[in-house]
Amino acid sequence: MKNNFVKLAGILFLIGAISAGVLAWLNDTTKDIIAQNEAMASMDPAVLEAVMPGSAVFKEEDAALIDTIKADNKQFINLLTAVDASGNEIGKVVRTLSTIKGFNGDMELYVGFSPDGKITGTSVLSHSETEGLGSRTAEPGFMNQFIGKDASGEISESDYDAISGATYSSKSFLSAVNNAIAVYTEYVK
Amino acid sequence: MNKFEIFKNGVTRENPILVQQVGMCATLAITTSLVNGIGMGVAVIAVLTGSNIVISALRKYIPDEVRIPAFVIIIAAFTTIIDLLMHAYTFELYKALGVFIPLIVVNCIILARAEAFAFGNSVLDSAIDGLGMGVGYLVAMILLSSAREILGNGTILGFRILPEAYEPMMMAIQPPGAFILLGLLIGIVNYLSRRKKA
Repeated sequence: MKNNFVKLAGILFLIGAISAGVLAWLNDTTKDIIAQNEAMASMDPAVLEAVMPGSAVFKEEDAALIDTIKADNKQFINLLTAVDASGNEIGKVVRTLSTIKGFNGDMELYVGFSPDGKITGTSVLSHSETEGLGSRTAEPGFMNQFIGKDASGEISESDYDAISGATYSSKSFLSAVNNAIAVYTEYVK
Repeated sequence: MNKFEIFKNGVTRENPILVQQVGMCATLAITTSLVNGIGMGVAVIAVLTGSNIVISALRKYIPDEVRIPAFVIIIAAFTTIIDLLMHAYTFELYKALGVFIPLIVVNCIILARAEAFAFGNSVLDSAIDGLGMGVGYLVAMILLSSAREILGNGTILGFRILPEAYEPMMMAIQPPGAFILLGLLIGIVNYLSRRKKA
């Protein structure tokens, strides 16, 4: 009986160890490609254009400032400076999670601000909303209504059109935009 | 059973979705657009075939008492492999399928085939069985997800096929629509298969 027990455990251990070995190797080989994919998705020219028309690249801000904001605002991810092709600074971009959960979780957004304090555009970096329904918050038809909105105060629910049938997703999106406005007014303006 | 019979069995007579009706959770949730349906179907084919082959190859070494934990480890390993590969090489699809890839682990069809077929049959037969069941799953996913995308969004693979004037039937892409359309689909399949027999 005792022998049998050891044998069973041994075989399970072996299967587990081999699986872990294969996965460790695969994780190692795909790690860089995955990181590159994620980085490219957030630096895709189409995304930059949607958030801040005319920008060529988003530059990192001072790390100390980022850390201060992070300590203060849990949903905040990054603050970036949008730079055009000839190197001129054309605005600020806030990367943030939503403060209100969507239908299935947090949404992650870029929100761009022009120097005169207006929203230049938004882009959804990741979401887990229902495909074909809540996912429409990531489409221009919904997002474009935020362009040109004044970032001097929070956008209230009466100031925008939610997507019918996707109220939670729309609210979640709005909460992310408002969090970006909060960060912008507090630390940039 | 000859090789072709094993394959055909999975696609038609024992189709995992339309006849056995297992693994409904992901099926109902993911089929909101055809791209998702195909992506999920292909991922399931890969995991199912892979785990069937390995489990069949190891069947003489895995003691009966611990076969279920052993199956779960092997299936989880294959799912993680697919997850990593999709994340690395088909990034867009990976983003769309999101949480459903890890959920393949608990898709009962995979554990069911390991237990009912791969544990007692040769490697080649098990591979064919995995492939057949997987293709059956894919076919059902394609039928259901195209119906939902056309009715609920007026598009197929993102291209508009119904005129703008068509008011999308919102319910088709919401959860109740999934149940209703799947029910209708199973009804049609039953009707056709009975008529064939008669």
